Amino acid sequence: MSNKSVILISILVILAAGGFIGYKIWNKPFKDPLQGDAIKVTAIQLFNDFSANEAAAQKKYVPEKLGNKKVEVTGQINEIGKNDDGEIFYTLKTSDEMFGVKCIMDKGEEIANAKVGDNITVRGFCDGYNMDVIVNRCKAVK
Amino acid sequence: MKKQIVTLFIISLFALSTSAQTYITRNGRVTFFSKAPIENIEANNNEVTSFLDTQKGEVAFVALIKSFKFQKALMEEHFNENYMESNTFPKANFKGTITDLSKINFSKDGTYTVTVKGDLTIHGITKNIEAPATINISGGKINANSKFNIKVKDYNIKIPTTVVNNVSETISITVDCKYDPLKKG
Repeated sequence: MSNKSVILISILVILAAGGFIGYKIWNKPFKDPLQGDAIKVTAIQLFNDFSANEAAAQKKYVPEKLGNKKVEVTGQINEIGKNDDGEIFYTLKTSDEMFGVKCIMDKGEEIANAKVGDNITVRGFCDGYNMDVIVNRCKAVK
Repeated sequence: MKKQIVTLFIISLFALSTSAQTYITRNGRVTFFSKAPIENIEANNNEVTSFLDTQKGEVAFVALIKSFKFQKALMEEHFNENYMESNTFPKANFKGTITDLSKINFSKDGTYTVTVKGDLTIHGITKNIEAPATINISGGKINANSKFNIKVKDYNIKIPTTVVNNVSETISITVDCKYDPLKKG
């Protein structure tokens, strides 16, 4: 093989590898909340932490890099709803009369037969405090 | 700066909550759309809290930046870490008034086109904006919709030149809120 073709093949291999890596990065999936460790907390505690000191709670529970922290929240269902994207959400009871911990399930996820008053445990990613504490892309913990 | 905004917001909420004509949603939807030569980017946030005082015509919105959901993880990562810096500026908010409130009869079903004016804070920068809004009243429920554009540079959001063909300089924002009367305790 001539030097020229070696160089040409090398370039092609590098381009293909670069393209493949680029494609992989471009299409990297969202983190699965059920994989790895999670901070276990009750809905009451999670809400209290945010209402007492929002900045500290944000540091503790909210991922500073996409998906690098998860929460596992347990609480009693106060409200069940569905948003415009078809995702089911459960608002969990807290010591506050109005606001709670809103857990939005990942697309297609649902807790079968869950009803208001039931105790559930979900894992997801905490977005922060918006009068409610928001936990997104949740999956049920069995 | 951030503390002041939060304090202002809490004060305004307090003012709003003392009124009997307060409506609320905790499931407000804000969508943004960026149209650029290489790709269109869309993100939805269904977790927007909003208050509406029908007597004073005051409206307030709070959205968590991290609650904007994208099709691709990479987009969501860039949005939060590079553009919006959501660890430093976790919220966007708006506080304003319906300037032509007298057009609306809240006790009668109907659709009204109005103008909303107020302060929009994104990425720690507050700008006074004006946007058209449609208020629909049906059986005691209030639906509000609005669509307006913002320029990323107004909010000091820096788009690197390498992705200038991927992200538009003008972002289209759509707001969709279904309000319920505020129930106390």
